[in-house]
Amino acid sequence: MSVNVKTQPVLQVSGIRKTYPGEAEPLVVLDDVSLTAYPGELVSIIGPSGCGKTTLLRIIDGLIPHDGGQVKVLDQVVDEPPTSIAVVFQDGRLLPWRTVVQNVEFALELQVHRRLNKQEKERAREFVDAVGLGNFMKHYPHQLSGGMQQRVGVARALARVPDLLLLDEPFGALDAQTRLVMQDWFLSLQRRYSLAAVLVTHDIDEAVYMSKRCVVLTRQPGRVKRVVEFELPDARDRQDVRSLPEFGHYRSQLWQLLRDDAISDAER
Amino acid sequence: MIPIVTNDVQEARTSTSGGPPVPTGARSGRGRLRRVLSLRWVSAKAWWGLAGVILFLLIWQWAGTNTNPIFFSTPLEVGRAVPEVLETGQLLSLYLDTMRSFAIGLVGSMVVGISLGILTGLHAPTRHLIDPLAVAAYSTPSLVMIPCFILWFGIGDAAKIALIFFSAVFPALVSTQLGMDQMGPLMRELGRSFGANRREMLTRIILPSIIPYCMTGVRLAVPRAFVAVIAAEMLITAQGVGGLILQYGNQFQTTFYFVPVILVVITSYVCTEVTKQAERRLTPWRR
Ligand SMILES: Nc1ncnc2c1ncn2[C@@H]1O[C@H](COP(=O)(O)OP(=O)(O)O)[C@@H](O)[C@H]1O
Ligand SMILES: [Mg+2]
Repeated sequence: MSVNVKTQPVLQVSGIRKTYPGEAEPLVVLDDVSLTAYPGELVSIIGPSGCGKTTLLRIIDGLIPHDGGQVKVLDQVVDEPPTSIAVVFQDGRLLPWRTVVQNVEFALELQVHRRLNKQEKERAREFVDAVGLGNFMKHYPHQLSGGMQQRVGVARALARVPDLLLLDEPFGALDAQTRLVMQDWFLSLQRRYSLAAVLVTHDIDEAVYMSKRCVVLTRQPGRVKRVVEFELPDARDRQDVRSLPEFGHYRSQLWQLLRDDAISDAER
Repeated sequence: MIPIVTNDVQEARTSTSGGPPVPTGARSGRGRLRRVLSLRWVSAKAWWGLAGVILFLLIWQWAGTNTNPIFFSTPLEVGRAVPEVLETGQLLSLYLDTMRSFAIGLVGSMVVGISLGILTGLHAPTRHLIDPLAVAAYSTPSLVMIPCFILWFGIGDAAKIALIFFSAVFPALVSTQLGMDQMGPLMRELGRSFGANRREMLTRIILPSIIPYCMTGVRLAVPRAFVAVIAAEMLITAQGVGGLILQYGNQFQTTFYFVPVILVVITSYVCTEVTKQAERRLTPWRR
């Protein structure tokens, strides 16, 4: 990618502050959080649990108000959920009464605001195929494994043809091997659609492996501790990136940044 | 006392288990006939149930032939009395009368209970306003309302339907509200994120997610409505099947008396089974 042509960012988060009304005094969850994502870029957010990662994604998607700062998607200020963003939720949040293909149709129905025609239904099937679940079109979510359910969640988000994808710990609930498989799977998908994405995770390896850049948040209030750029080859799923010395270097760098919070978490 | 068949929730849970839907189109007509005749579709559970019924009838027959017929009668005599009760007692028209009131009261209470449950579920203050009243009314034995309904509606069908309505509306309301609670804000957040307007929020998110709870409401309401219709006929209108039961009972016509009673038993059993099946059909996504 050429460096001198600076393209317009897909996402610009600047100085976001968020407080929740607490029991005694207001709880400051996010304080002066900024981040930027360019087209085709996967940016990760890492931080201890409870530091406000989900809250930040909600604010970016315009689902809840913030108390300061600004979110811009494609140069538009976000206050309501924009059509250009799609979310993959932490808990999957599939509609249990709909089959796999109907869950994807849901995204299309809410875009056209009417019943789908033949081509649109066909498009939903294509997205199910794209995430490798062609043989499970008519299964209900409870009949699928956790990894397959998350694929449906990704297919549903992709069906919106978003400019920006937000993923909230999408592989957090999966077992270790499935998670590795899903990471490669998602990277190839992201490349195919050249998606801009914000990936929330609490897994250091996942952050280094998947993203170009990682925003490290502190806990209570969530502040940006450091933004780490990973100088690693692209198309990581095609090479053995994990055994590169740089990979170990970045991993220990992230651990250094996170360890104080992690230790105080473990001792609580 | 009228033996109302109550529903075993545990049993309903386990018997709804099943994997992905099995395609049925491929089976040939003759193969299906052979399968039906082989009786293999009747489960072992059902055979045991049938055996239990037969055993019960045998014991009844034995007990009835050895005691004063005023107390027990016997199944064979009851069977022989059926044509006469149909003719002189006009059982069929009374039965239709009873079932019509039952249907009106039940459908009315379901529509009102479920709608009210959705509306109050959408608006927390209203919900909290009526919550204690609804729960209190739900746990009140509805028969205490009989004198009141007689005062308000007289001793005709109106009072009967009012009693059915009162018995059935609160289980529907409370279950629907529970469904609205269980859905929580997360599903609505999903809808907002994907751009649902108000109508879509209702039809694509809220209604489907509360269907299982509404069906539970129906399942709880049906036996209560059945108690109500028979009780109202015995204690208010003295008409319908309940009235006939009362009349035969008062006249010590025990053999005749058992004919409408058995009809009531069978009807409430069928209603319960139909509700269970409907619940299963309407919520195929549930394990
Ligand atoms: N709706 C809310 N009202 C009050 N406090 C909240 C609310 N949502 C989250 N919080 C609090 O804000 C903090 C951050 O939550 P969250 O964004 O879910 O963290 P993360 O996703 O990083 O685990 C937590 O302490 C949580 O208890
Ligand atoms: Mg979270």
